[in-house]
Amino acid sequence: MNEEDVSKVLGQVVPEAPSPDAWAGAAVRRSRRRRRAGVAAIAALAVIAVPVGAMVFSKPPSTAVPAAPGGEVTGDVLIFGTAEEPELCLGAVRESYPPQCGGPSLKGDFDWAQVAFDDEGGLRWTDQRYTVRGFYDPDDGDGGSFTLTAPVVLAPEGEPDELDFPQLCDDPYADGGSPDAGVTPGEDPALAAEAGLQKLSEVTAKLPLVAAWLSDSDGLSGNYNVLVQGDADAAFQKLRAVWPGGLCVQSSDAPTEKRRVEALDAVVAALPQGQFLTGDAGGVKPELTVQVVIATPEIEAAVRKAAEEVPVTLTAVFTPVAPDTPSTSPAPSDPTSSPSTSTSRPGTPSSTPSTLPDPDTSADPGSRLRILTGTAILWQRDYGLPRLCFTVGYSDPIQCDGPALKGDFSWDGIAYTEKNGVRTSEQYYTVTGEYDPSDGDWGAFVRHDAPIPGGMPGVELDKYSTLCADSPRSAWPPMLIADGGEGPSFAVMVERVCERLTGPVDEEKRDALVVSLRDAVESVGGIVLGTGRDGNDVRITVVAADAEVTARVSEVVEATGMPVVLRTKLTPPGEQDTTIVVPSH
Amino acid sequence: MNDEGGFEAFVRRRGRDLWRSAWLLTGDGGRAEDLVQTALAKTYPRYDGNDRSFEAYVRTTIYRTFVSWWRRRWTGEVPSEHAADIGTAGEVDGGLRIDVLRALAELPRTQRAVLVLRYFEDRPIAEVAELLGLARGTVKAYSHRALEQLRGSVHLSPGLEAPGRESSLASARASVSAPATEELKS
Repeated sequence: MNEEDVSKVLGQVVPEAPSPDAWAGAAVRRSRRRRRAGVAAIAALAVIAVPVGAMVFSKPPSTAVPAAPGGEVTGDVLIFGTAEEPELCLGAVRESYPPQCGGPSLKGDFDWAQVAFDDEGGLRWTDQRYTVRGFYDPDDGDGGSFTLTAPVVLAPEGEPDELDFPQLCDDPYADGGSPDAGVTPGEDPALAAEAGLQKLSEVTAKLPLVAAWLSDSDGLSGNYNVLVQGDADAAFQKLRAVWPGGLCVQSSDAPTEKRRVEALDAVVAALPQGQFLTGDAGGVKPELTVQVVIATPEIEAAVRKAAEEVPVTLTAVFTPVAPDTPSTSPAPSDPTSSPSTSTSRPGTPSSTPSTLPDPDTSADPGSRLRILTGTAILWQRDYGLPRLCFTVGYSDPIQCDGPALKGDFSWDGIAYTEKNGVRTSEQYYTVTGEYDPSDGDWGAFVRHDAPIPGGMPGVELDKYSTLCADSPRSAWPPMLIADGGEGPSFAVMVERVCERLTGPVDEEKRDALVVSLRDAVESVGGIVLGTGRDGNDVRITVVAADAEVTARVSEVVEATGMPVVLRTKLTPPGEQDTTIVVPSH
Repeated sequence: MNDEGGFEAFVRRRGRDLWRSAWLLTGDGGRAEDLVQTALAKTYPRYDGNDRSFEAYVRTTIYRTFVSWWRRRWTGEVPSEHAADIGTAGEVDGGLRIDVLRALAELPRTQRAVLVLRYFEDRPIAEVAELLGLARGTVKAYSHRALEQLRGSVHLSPGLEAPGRESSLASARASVSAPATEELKS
């Protein structure tokens, strides 16, 4: 398959797009909600040449008790963000003005007054690194979160990276070359030098090149230093034929530049999603430099394996804190509630029992925590908490959206596959426990029973398009049909649902309904996993539906007159996961 | 003050095209719509009436959101949606679509984004590099690798022996994602 074929195939397979008519309104509404969360940030966005959404649009700080998955870690980082939404800067800083960088949102006891920062239109950043200590949760929010367990302190200044371009031989003109040898009288020396360098790079590209650089350079001339594998004399002759200036060539056993670039590619591919930050294939120093988020022994092993014989300098932003290291000041959270995976072998996912949220730190935990049950694949990344995996994203290893399990958990007795530091159970498990919807993006089980293999199969939604055609009531799947109280009889409701499901498709109305549904559910804190539509069938899947969520769905249904299939991934034990909400008239 | 009417007209005109790229990235109609809408919500405050430059901005946001940050909305629904996607356009062989989706799914996100930008949107390497914030050499390497993987994909070359690396990658991924795919049936 050539490139043209690929273009053609890609063009062929894309299905017909749905009507975008309702999208603008929805986007404007969502944008306004975001704007309320960070007005200053968006004002600043207008002056950024290449905007990056991540920094500006992270979620507002959660009032929930901080999640503390993985072990306690520490690192020296720049702090970016807005007054309300500070973030740690991981990876490279984009040198625009204001500079841009993003990473996990910074939670816990942080105040901008603790650091020296610049501010431009509401975007803030520090020029110096600060030492942070706390818990990193890569799966909390869009960019993960970092929950401090100690105040930030100014980091000691590191040694500046002095790039040294040594001259490889004592006399670069030992064979009689001269800086002006290639210049014809009357010719612009700068142009001649540029042409000379061009020829030089062509010849260099054909060598088994380890590295090449100019020493004593003013940009166009200087001494050309070359490391090659094998015969240095032969390489010297080829280069001298096009370059009259200073020239030093040495033989080296180090991997070639080409090989190092390949190795870097392999390293990037081998690292778990989100771990790789920056990489360099080296030059004067012919080795790879790779920066990751946290270097566990597994990650280091994966990097070395992928790089094969190529030497790698691996650096990590965060390093585990030894369990007995005192923090510089009392930690704001109870240290006994912090899982201490730093004491276990990294890469062996585990978690320790956690305690219920401190009642003082949450508004009303009693009303928030409900006993719920859910069935899903179990998932855990080596430095995070185990999760119930409701939905997955393409990637290798797979990503998982679902609530964290903060109670006792062990992989003992659970059949799982492990790849790139991610474990996934080979079958479904059912977890029942106390669920806190405000803890993290998908909520968390703060206490739970041991997962039980198997579980209630969900309702097959595909069935009811045929059910309506030829179904008496008995053929309906065992689902609850809700009409909000005093309503029509079951038979009337079925008829009404079928009428809507099999009647003519009003795409515009349906698409608008999907948008308003999501808005309505999210406005009361419901966590939407997805929306769907097929014919006149509109579905919304949420992590859990409390009375408020159900009430908002009912309102939308009443307003539009279209039934909605509401699916919940976590239900009170014994309750159905699917509800069809029908209009009462 | 934003020109809401102009923005709405822009979305009506260009929304389908944006959705098509998003579909290739996500492999799913609902997720594609979510991705486009997320990008539109992020970019709306900067709508200035210049559709051409604004579209470039929206696309940049779509790709960057997809590659780097999209987790929360990175969600699947029940399989009937996938089935609906697959059956939507009658003239295309559904099998081919599934094969392409599977092959795309085997690529890491950045490579998938490079592939869609290079070969679906026909953008030059320099532009792809700028858009994704990658070095040109990396874009070249990724395009090459993504093409190799598509060529080597067992899904697209049923009669061909896939090169060792690709086929082992493919089977390894299949083993990881199998339970997860199944999960979507719930």
